Amino acid sequence: MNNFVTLKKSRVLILCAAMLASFTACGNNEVNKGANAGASNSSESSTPNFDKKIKISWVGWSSPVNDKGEIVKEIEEKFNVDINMVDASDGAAFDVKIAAGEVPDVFPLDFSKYQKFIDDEIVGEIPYETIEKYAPNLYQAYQTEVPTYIDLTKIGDKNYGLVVPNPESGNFRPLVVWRGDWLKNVGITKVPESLSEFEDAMYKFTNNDPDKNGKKDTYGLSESMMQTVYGAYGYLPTSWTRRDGKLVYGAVQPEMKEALKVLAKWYKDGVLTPEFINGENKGGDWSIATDFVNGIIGVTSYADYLYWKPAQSAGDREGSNITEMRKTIPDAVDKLVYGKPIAGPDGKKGLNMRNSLQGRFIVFGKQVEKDLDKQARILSILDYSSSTYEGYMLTRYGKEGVHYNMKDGYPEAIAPYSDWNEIVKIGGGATFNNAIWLPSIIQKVNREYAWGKSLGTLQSDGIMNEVILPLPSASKYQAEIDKIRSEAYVDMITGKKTIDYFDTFVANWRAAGGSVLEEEAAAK
Amino acid sequence: MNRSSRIKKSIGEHVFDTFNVVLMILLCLTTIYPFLYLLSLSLSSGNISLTKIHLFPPEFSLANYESVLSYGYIKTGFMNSIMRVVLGTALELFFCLLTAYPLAKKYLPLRNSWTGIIVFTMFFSGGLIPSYILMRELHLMNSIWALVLPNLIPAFSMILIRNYIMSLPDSIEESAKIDGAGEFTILYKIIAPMVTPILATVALWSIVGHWNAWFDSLLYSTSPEKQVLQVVMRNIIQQGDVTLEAGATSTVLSGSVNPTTIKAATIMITSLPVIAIYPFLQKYFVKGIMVGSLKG
Repeated sequence: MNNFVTLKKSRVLILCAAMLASFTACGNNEVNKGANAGASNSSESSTPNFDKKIKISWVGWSSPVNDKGEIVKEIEEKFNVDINMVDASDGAAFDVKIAAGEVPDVFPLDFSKYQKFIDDEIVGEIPYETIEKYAPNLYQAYQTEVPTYIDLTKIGDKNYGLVVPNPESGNFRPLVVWRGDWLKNVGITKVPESLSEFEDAMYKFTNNDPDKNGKKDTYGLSESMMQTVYGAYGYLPTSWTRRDGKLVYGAVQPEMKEALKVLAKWYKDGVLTPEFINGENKGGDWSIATDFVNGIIGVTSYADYLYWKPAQSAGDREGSNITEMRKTIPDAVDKLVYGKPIAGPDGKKGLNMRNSLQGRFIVFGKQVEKDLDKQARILSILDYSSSTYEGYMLTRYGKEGVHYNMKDGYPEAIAPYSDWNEIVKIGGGATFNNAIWLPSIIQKVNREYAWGKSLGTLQSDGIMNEVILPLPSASKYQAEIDKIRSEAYVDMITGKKTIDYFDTFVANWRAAGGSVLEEEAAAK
Repeated sequence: MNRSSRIKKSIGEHVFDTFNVVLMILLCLTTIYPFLYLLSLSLSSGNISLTKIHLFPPEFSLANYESVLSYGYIKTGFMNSIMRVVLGTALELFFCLLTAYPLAKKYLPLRNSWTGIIVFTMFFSGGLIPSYILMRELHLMNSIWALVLPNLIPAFSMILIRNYIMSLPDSIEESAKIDGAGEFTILYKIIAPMVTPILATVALWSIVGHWNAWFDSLLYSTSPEKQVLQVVMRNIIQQGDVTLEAGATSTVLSGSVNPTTIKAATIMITSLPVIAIYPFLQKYFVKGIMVGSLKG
């Protein structure tokens, strides 16, 4: 009883102190916002003193999240907030709510809607000074880890969003995977690196029965490795890259004519599988390179490198393609060989390298713009969850021993939290860090990333699309010119049209709006 | 039947019949095949290759169903769906009948205007955003009523019932009146039992409609426990499509189950109830539409 009373007393004292502090804080806020911010920043604790409980409506990267989830509660307690999780998984439903005036305080926004939402005054400004003040770690990480991207969120000299880096698959080119046993069976000892060596291997894969089953049922390559042929001539059809300093579209560069000639010949000779039109994945999980896994083609670069990761130790998680191959061609698994993009006649080479961004920015609703207290609170949550190791571990994986265990220095989720839906449900996954995954943190927790880095070669020989935010007129023309491009390319490869058609195609492409996009890109 | 078999068919007719049968079988196969494929997938263990097509599960397992049924929101989703189906269908039948009966009476003042006003709603609606704002201002968010009320009286179903009632002879009603029955007694003791076929049709439409509807639930319910089964299913299905982190999406679950077979099981679970109801109501379904055709 005595204990209880003293406890109560101490609580009352704390409460009084808290109230006093909040009064002074409020006063400061009105008189001098900067001073308050400076004060909370200079204090030693990782979280500024947030004495007044405020409500925040929050959209995480994935949905649905339970308001009463364990991690949601942790964050609510730590930052003295009352969080209302908003489900924005369906774009159409979310748009209706936005139109009806229900703009959440924090939400991820597609690149394609970014400019529009700013013009419509749905999202508010997030000045860089504010980020620096309330999310100092994140600000620092932006400056040092993703400096090339931070200006993307600026419109004029105002900043409206936070960039979301994607270290896991961004800045990596696909891994080129060869069937080592096939190479051996057709008598090739050196993994092909030049176009002529590659062609030789492709013909042998097709004609010399590499799987030794006595039937001519194999092909050289499919859709993914066609890219390396384009790359060998310097461009990728769907990427904007620089030519003499100016951004140009790959598909209409004259060099592509040479690449198409090669592909058309391979198609005619049955080296390129006729199924290439349907892409390389044919059902099941999207990351599976179906033809390769079924032993129909001998080389692939389909899906990101991480889907090819072998187990690094007993019980380690394998990439989905390795898992699949264990079911279809188990003997080939240990004989996979990693190659490189193929070098063309002039030594050019490259495969598509993704930029290191997720396709969305994190933005704040317009109502937050004037509410400095809320801005500070949100930024502090993001700062804690994305750029401190402790915060990232909590908001991504949960609590050690409850939701995950450490194994060889990496976190391993405990079932059922290994399921993305389950961890998201309690507020983990990418709910509070909102997928702002910084390379410096990811390399400590992600085995796939560590493996990709260890290969050493995946961050070179890539061709990156330099148009990151859609061009202003893209929504108007892109669909139509993409159709023209893919039809023309397929027709020329399958021999339905001769290669001379290329010039007609370029003219059609430009006339259908391509020239407008070219001008817009050239101005960048 | 007997008579037609006695008449000799020409070669042309035989060819035509064979062609018809083959075409029909092919058509049926294309419809049933994807379903069989999913059924087989849902009953397969996670160890099977997803790159090959199986019509029979190569490794039989119920682990997928176990896994899906243990997912937290499946139970609430099921309950919400059943609730909206039962409540929605019962109220719809009740109110449709109540609206259709007077409109079927020729002596109802301004009858054509009332009908016209209702038919108007078949062609024009307030639109999505105003509907949403209306629901919000009525404080119906997160309530089952938001899913039931907006489509309480579908104009088309109501008019079908009205036309069916109009096709009944007036004399039945008159004789009841002579026996001393009031309007409500006539409606519930005489008319209602006679319009069962059309009510069954409308009920089936309503059941299927309510069971399949998901967008309104997504719109008007903000917490995951309030969502109907279809929305829960949608979340499970879409899970693998957003690639955020390989570890979290692609190779999620250990040995016995994998995302693709899980998805198949989810689809089976959500579609089975409707498939199970269909055969029992189907006879009314076909008959009902025919007998309810425009006679007014």
